[in-house]
Amino acid sequence: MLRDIVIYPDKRLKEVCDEIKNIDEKALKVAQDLLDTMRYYNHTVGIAAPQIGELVRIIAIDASKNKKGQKINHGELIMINPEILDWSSIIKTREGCLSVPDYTGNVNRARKITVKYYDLDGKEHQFDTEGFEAVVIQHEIDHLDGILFIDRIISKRTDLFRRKNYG
Amino acid sequence: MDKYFYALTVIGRDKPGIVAAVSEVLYNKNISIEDSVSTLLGDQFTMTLIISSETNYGVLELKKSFAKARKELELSISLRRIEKEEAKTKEPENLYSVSVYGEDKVGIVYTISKAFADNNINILDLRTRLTSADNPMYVMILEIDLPKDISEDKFKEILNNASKQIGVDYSIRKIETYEL
Repeated sequence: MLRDIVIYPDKRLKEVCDEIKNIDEKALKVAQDLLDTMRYYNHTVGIAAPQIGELVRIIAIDASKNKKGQKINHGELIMINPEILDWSSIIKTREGCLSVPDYTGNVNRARKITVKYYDLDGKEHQFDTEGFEAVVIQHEIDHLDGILFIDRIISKRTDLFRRKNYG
Repeated sequence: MDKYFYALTVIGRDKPGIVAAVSEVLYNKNISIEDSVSTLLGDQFTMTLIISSETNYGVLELKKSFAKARKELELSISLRRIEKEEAKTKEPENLYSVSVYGEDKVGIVYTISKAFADNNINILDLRTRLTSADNPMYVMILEIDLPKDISEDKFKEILNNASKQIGVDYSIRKIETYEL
């Protein structure tokens, strides 16, 4: 079922979501609604449960929908209790968000990640990915912890400042 | 409800309290800050704001309300009325980030910006800095909107010519927004 997108300042976007303990009918319904809603918006390559008002740890992604995700992607996925196990290297991206209309900002993300999750059958998976898909996954997992991309924006001014500690 | 728009700039020797003093005046007059940027240049703090009000304040009247802040913090303040359409930024079409840098000399900003102007390339954001090393280096970071009829190769050619003229290095990166 297509669901309405929760828009900031709705407080549900700032909550830490609950882990899925068992994949019951309710969890399956959330997963299906996430897919339906993500498919409905042509340009949307990822959506997290709190964005449809469900405070549980489920995300849907599909990096293949965007030309930036053509080279490296794992197709359309439902990820339950997703967790980033490892990351390396940093890329700067300019991000926007369905839940924060009409605003974009520069965010630093990991270029490469190793992510673990459970599928709808409760089977554990793990893969490495990089670039666009890695950014999408990080953005969506942030939603499960009540973190918006705005929380990760760094003041532009620092770009031109000299690093003082060469530790 | 009709709104009235103004462009406000403030500059003065840096100290804590400038933003608070300016925004206090606006708050007391029920004026909204629509868009703004403030930063420290050298030791001068500068604020540039688009503000709006439901009350049609006269420019002189508004300016006068800053008298106390201006006097106590030694600020230069300018204010003018703008049209409603000027309060909103047009959606850029083809964003690029450009870095230009080289040995410090007069004319870097002029040469680069003139080349852009001649080709109808609009600058949306520009920051410059002079490093304080023994051989100072000039750094210019721009965000520009490349017109659709200029290819990336053509853009590089424009930059090549301009940067050769003034002896600087440059690089460009397309700014891609991830709509997530």
